[in-house]
Amino acid sequence: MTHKFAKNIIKYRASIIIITVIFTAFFGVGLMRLGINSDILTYLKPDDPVVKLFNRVGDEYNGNFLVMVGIETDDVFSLKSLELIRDLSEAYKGIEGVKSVISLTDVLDIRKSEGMLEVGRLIDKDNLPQTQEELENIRKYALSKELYKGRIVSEDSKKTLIICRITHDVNRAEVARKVKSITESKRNNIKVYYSGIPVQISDLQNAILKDVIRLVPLVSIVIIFILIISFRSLRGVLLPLIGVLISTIWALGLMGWLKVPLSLISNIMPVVLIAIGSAYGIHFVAKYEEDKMTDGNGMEISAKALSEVGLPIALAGVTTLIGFLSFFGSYLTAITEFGIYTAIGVGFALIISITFLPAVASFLKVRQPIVTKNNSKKSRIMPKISEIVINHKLIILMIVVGISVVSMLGLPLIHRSVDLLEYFPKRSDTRLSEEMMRKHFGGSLPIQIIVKGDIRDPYTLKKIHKLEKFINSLPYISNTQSIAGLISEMNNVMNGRFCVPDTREGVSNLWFFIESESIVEQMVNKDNTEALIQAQIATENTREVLKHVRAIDQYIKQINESLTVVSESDFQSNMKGKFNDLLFDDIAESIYYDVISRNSNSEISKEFIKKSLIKASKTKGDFVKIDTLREELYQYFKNESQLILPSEEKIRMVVDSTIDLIKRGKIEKTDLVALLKSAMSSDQVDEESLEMTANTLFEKAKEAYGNAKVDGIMSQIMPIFPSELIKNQDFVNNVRGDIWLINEQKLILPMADKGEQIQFSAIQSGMPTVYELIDKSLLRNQLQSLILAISMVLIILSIQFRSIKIGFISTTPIIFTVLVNFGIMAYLHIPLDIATLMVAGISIGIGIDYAIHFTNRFRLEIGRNGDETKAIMKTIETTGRAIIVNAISVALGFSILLLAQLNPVKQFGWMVAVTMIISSLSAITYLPSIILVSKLKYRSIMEESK
Amino acid sequence: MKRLALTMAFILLSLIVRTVYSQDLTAVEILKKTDSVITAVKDAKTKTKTILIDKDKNEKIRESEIYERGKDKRLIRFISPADQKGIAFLSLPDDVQYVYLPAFHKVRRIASSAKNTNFAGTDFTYDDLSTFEYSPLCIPKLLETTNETYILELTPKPNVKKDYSKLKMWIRKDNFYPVKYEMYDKNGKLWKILERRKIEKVGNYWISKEVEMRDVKANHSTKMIIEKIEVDTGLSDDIFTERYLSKVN
Repeated sequence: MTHKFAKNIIKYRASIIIITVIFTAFFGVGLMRLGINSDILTYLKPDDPVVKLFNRVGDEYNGNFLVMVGIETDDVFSLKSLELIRDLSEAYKGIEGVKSVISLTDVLDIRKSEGMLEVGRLIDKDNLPQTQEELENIRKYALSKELYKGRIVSEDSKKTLIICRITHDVNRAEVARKVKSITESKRNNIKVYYSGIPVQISDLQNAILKDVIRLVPLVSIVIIFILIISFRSLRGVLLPLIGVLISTIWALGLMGWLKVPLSLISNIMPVVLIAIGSAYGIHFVAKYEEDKMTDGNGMEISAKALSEVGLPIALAGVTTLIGFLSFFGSYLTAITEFGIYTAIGVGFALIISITFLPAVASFLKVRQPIVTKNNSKKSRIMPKISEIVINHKLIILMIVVGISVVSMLGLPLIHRSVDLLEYFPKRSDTRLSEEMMRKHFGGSLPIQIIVKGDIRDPYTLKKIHKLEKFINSLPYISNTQSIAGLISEMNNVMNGRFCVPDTREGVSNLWFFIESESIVEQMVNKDNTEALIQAQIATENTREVLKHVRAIDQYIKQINESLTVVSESDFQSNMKGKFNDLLFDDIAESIYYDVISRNSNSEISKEFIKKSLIKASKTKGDFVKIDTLREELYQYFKNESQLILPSEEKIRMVVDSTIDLIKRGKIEKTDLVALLKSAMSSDQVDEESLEMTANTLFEKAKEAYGNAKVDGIMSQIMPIFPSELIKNQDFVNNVRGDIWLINEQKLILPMADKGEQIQFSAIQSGMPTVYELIDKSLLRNQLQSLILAISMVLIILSIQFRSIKIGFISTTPIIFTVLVNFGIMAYLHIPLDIATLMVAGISIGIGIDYAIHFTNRFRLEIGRNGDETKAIMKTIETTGRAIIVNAISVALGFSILLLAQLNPVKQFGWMVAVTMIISSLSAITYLPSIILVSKLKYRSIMEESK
Repeated sequence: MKRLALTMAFILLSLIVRTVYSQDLTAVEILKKTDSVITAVKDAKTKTKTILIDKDKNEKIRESEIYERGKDKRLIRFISPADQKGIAFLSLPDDVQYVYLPAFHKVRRIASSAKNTNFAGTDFTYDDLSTFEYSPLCIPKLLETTNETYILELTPKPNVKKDYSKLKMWIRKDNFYPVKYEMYDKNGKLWKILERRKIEKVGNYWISKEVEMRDVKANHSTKMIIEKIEVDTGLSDDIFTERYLSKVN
């Protein structure tokens, strides 16, 4: 069959050459259109629920990705620095794809200054502070608030961040590039850091491009070098080289035409194709050169070589193809794409090696070969090897078994990694910037939790606030933000307590002020049925990230879908104590999170806090603020009250009496009505005004009493905390807000019988969940690729040799190679990631070629002379040499990847190189050993199959 | 001959003089007239419906009653929706502002630096709402005169701090009522468009019963519709006090 094929090829050689040239031109054009896409998010399957949620959140909440620009100066709070920050912030806003920008000159600030409520900006960008005093005040203020310190300005005020939020459906890398170029044009000599996933993607894109441009010529040079050494003839170099270049152009051109871009994974395709594809050409040329020793013209020799080597080349090609196709159906589309197009490329190389190359070779004049010194040199090594194999076959087998066992023992040591950052060299700008971000600003990897419910409901918000506190308390997580936190901030400025108000009206009143702030769009959806809690995680170490993802998921599971708001009266009389117990439990839990999120090493336990709370609650209230209240009430009656008291004395009288009532803890509205009435001359009282004033006075009195109670508990409980926490105003505010719950006397419990039900369901989203998805798929994909590749190879070989036994034996060298590969990963701590994942499958596909060539030649020799030992010797000395040359060239080709910038690519490169050496060596040592030892009647099997 | 020439010269001269006299008004004059039309009302009590429209065409509706006197006294009290009923704002001269939050029974003073932030979720900033007169703040230029409108371009005077780099105004020729404004940001890009519609005469004054501010960048707009208006009823000073602010019916 192959004879006929070979004859036909030579017959139509001219057409084949012309067609090949035409295709090459066509695909050459396609190559010009090839793009690069390193956006890992586009590699995910869009209909996976995790990906869908991630994309929806990005769409509805103004984008999932942040580009963070860090600026380092001697003092961020100097006019020059602020001007730069402002100029950059404004410039970034003009970039398409940047939805919002937050920086020192553009951040929401809610405060009370001189008794006046201010909802505005920390720094007015049109009115930058000029004097040293103003600057100093801003610095002090900014560093006193956790909203700014560690979020957009570092503690030492030498570094500040400008955070750009990127909309969802935009080319992220392009936006990052634009941010960079604007910054470079404005920054003069100031040090800048770029971070965030879009930046990493853009940097990866550049690195990929650089690598491809640099490495492809290098690989070609290596191949040329090898070819020169092996064949010492021009055609020996040119034929395989041209063959492989053509097939690479075809494969890449096809991708260009089909608009499939090079990805983080397929960027190694050109190098891989050149390294592998050369093999087929090499085998053809080797046989061609060998056959030149006999007589004949170019056409005859070409046909002869092709007929002899055509099938093994085809087989080798097909198995390599399978190795790559084993990635089909991988979780990441980029891996599947890489598999498919590399397989196609291998297919092209195969076709060209058995059509184009023989066609061209047939035109070449055959000159009698010159006997060179090289032949004798080479003929020394190979016979030596065959001698060792034949005499020490058992030892060889034992060594192989030993290494296999050691590798298998190491398997559990293999760890996985999906850290995009690991792609970059340790000292690269990208890595250093991310390190800076982690150290000073909590990192650039965002965490997201979506909560569904009635977001305007006070208790839903309180639950969100609690969830936010929990998340903030986890190690490495900081800079949480949610609508609940914002409302609490408003409440603190308005009413002096950092918590969510307990009435719907209270929530709405506060919401009113912040409604139109762009930051609210990032926190709640339009119809207020969904809220987003965001945070940052300061590590991209996969294991840590996944640990946190699971911790958050677990906490969320505990929060039931149906929560109930209960008050003390909902409890039966014999259970009243239980209510208080649960209340203190709730408060202690919140305080505990407040402590841990600021002081992760604290040894204070929740139980200790609870005990201290219970003890503290028994003290009387602290009425130290009562004098300010006195003044407030006075002003109230003077300027605001609907009921206008007749004189200063009357006002003082009412105020003093009210304060007395508050101090005694006895506040009844009826008493206040009576008090007010007594201050008026009876016939002047307008009932409506009286009612309104009494209501307001009652509310103020209740609030004052509540404040006193909380102040009392605060003074008792604060001392249990370390001094640096006590000095932190934000901590104090948080604790105060937590304790205020005592005045509200309502609890949120899961599934109680009585009380008001609220719907609450939370689910986690964000990049960590995407990483988890990729992580889960790694192991699955690795196993899938392995099983697929090995089974297919086994089947093909069994069919070829018409014996399952022989097929199996031929496959064992490659199984050994794969085990060694994993053993290396285990003991050298190389992680299983999206690049190293592919090493095993590819090794199987390529490495099996050596076994195929060996077995095939062995079959030929056995057919000629019948003696197994002699057959083995001949095989090793001839095909063995070609195998080694093949393996070395492929290994050298892949070693070029060591010069790549990206780490996983480097690892992939040398690991494949190592597997090439191992599989080729085992093909010429282990395989013959086991053939000899297994004593299978090859001859009879061969004869049967003829 | 001489007679003819003299007559011709005379006719020519009078034509010239006539043209000079019937020359269009200058930009400064137009702006001054417009300002005075807008600020003509002495006091007014209105019931207003405010509609906030987002980029997906969702609408949020609020109702409020507004008391105004002169240029710098204003009280806005929200009537609906229910959970924002009673929230009220008081603006007094010299940038003094108060807010009342009924949920907490509290009146608080608002700092004036909040001028460039949006008021109550609308597309109007505090500054937008309190600016009626542009003459003292801007330098006008007459861009075009059509059959019905004057189109002016206003640039803020050097020491005036505004978010806009320039404004374009369309002013009706017949009554000097401004019907449209275009606001441009610091980079010269179109930012907001304000349109006044349903311009009617109420008493002696021209009033637009519908105003819409559209934020082109945010793709969001606010419509304010006057449902009821009473002008020059002699609103007393008592109304513009903290006391009245916290009076919720």
